[in-house]
Amino acid sequence: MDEHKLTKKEKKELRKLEWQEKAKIEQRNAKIKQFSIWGGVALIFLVVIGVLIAAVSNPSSSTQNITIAPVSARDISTGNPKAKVTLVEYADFQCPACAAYHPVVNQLLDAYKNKIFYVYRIFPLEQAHPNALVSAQAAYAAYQQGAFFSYGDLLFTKQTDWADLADPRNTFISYAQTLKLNVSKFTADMNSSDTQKYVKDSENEALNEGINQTPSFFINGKLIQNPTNLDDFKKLINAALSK
Amino acid sequence: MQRFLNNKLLIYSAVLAFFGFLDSLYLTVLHYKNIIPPCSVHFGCEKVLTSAFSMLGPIPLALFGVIFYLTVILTCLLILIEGRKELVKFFHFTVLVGFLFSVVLFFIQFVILQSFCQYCLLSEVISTGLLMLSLLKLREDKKNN
Repeated sequence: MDEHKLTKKEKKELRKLEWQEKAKIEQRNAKIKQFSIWGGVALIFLVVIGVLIAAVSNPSSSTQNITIAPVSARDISTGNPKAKVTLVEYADFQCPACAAYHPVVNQLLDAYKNKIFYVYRIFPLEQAHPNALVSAQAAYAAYQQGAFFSYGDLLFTKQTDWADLADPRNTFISYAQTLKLNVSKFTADMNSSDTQKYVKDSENEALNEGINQTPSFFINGKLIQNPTNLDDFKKLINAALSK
Repeated sequence: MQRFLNNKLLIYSAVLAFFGFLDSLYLTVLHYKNIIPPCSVHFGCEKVLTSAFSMLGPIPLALFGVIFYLTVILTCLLILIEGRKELVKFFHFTVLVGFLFSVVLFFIQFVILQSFCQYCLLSEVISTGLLMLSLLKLREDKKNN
């Protein structure tokens, strides 16, 4: 349409229409922009939630590179020393997470019996847990009577009974009685300087190796992210067995 | 775009709250997956997270954290994207409630449990940061009016 031939009124009407059209387009663009921003935000949230859940659920080898001391006669162990898979656990008897993992580890040892060699390394987190050192000393005293693992079972399953005690020694002695250990030897060993030295040395070794949490599990010397359940743990053991 | 640039403090708040959201979400996922976080050499996270104070009835406190941070993020976005200025007061109120809640939780860790959880401490630092941004926003709005 030739604008020059239009009357003043028609021109005005045309400008109004053009302005309305422009406003409509701007409004539509603004809505699209808003919708895109909300969509982008929603997408970011969905991706982040998905990644977080996946990261928590899928255990794998850790990216941390920690070299631990090779297994030696000094270690507290059970299972087949010639097994293809060696599982080393650094744990603290007063650590609730270690107590939560304890039945999982027991089930694992039952399931794999001779296919696995299990090493328990004492790592008392004395800064976080006031009874960590003395509980480790009690377990080491039981070890000297060949009862480390059954005593450890008691410490973990009854953890909430002694964790907050000002002095849990009498409770630990009662556990030794329950297991029919030689109580006077147990008491002497629990408090001996040799036991204190073993526990303290174990703690320092773990700290020097760079281990900063319990439980920390190593399969054939490689640190793993803690599996969330028995099946996930089995997958990691099976993978190591099939190598 | 100008609205965005004029509300830098709200953008910072939304970003900060997003980190708080991630922190709380992580703890919520751990709770519902029945995972106790490992014990750290320096922190007593597991003691805090397994204590009676970690739950409010059947609901883990971490879930309240998720809801709180989501509310802050949504409020900021509604003001920034939709221009809902009437929500500014709600933003200040929510941030203040979150901060007071954090003070109580810090007190429980420090006095009652005598253990600190690094994830909880992070959330407390974030809610303090949000309060500071909220106060700066109040000052800025006062100056502009």
